[in-house]
Amino acid sequence: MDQESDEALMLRIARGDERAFRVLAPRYAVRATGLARRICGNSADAEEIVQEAFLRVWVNAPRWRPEALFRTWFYRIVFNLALNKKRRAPFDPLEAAGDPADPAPRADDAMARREQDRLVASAIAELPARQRSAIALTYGDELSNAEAAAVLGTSVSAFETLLVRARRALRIKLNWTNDED
Amino acid sequence: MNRTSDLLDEVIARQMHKNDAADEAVAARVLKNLGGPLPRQRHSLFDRWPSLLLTRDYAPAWPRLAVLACVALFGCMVGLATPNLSVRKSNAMVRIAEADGGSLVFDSEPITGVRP
Repeated sequence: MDQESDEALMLRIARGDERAFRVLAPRYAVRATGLARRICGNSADAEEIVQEAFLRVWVNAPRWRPEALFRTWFYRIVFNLALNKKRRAPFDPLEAAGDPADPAPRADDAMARREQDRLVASAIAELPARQRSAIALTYGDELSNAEAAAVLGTSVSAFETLLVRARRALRIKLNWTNDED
Repeated sequence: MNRTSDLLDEVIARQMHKNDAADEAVAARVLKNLGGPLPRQRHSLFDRWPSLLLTRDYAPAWPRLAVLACVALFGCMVGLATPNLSVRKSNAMVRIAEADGGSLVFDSEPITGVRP
């Protein structure tokens, strides 16, 4: 059963096979958590979202039809739950706090890099939800534009526009203007 | 490719993967919570039908539908073209309608044989 495809496992799950469910869930648990965290911005919400998403997979498995990849369908569930989730906290506060100063010789480079990461994290957090999701799917989950568009429920061209806008917004927030855009 | 774009891609990717290690701990907790009894599954309405209804294709064949439509149209045309067919269907009804009820009431005249 471990060698079976996601779609084959889903057909088993549709018939009430709990063992198949417990083979499929670990395949996507970490990636789903990462996607939810990148959209919501905190791990607590991500945990609730991923658990709810897996329960929905189990409950609705009999209605699932193999018209698309399971991964696309599941990510869409996670994405929709993440968008609807009310945030408890804006973003994890520890990410903005930064690390203590490092007295090592190349500490300046490391400090500059940390500051850059902090600014990027802040800029991403300020993006609209769909743009942030486009960034998360492309850079975090490394999905193709076609699959990411399917997860967002939009066309490929619309997704690409979303991504371009997100990148442009980040450049502006980071003061990295580019004449080619 | 533009250097700024490359740098932007790099920093975004770095930010996206920054807390990947923490995701594993969260995922482990989720899987542990899912280890218990699972809720009831939601079945489609059609799943409860006999399998025979699900395995056979009951979709109408378009040629048969076309023939049925033509026959229906023909029947309508026949019905509209001959509206009095039902009236002439049975002569018994005509005989009864034309029958003279006076023979049941009056006797004929003895001389002329005419009934009033």
